[in-house]
Amino acid sequence: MHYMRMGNEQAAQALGRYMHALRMMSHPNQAFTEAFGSGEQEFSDGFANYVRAGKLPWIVLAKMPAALPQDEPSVHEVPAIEGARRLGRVLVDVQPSRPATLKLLEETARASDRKSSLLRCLRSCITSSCDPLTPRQSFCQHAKTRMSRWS
Amino acid sequence: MIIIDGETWNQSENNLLHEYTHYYLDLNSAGVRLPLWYAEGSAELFSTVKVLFGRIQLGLAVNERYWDARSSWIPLRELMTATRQSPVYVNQSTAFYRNHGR
Repeated sequence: MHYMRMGNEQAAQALGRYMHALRMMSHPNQAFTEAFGSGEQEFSDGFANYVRAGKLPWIVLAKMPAALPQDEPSVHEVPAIEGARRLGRVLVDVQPSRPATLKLLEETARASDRKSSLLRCLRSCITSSCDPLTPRQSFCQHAKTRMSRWS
Repeated sequence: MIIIDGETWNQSENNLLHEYTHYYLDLNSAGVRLPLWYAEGSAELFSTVKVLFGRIQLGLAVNERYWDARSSWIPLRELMTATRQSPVYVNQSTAFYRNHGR
């Protein structure tokens, strides 16, 4: 990425073509071919030379692109149920295979308005590009099975 | 939400910027599912951004990645078409990140 963004104008153009092809709904394989075409070896050689040269360029932007908000982060108390739901949501990401994760979410869902907390969590989990066969996906499947037993 | 270990801030700052870049890309990819190499490569590129005296430095190398990358890398097409299920990622994730990611 460094090479394509900052190291070589032709590589930067190829990256632009690649992203354009992706936006046109091309499969990554097809986008790659459209972007690099017959220049794949040339690009690889250029990258190798770039890395071996021993100097990676960096740039300085002299002006901040936009004013940053000055507000201090706010801290406020949330109901215990909401706290548990948020914690459960985090655990889905970092420790989905731990039995305690699902248990926490289940208890949260039961203690609040029926299953909405778990449903929200699952919806979020499923729609945020879950890859198959990952622990997260396994968690989703497991949670769905458990939920089906409730009804 | 990002949870970091505040005991080791030097590394955590890079990790924070890395993960924030993922978040930013997710919000702004307009429905395009970004390839793994692009998402990880961008996250790594922006992980070393420094803001000093009103100026922004971009492109500072991650030293350990740079020296690793000099030793070996994955063929370009294989790298750029990899997914999280690809053998190159599953079996060589360390090498994969050496080339383009964290």
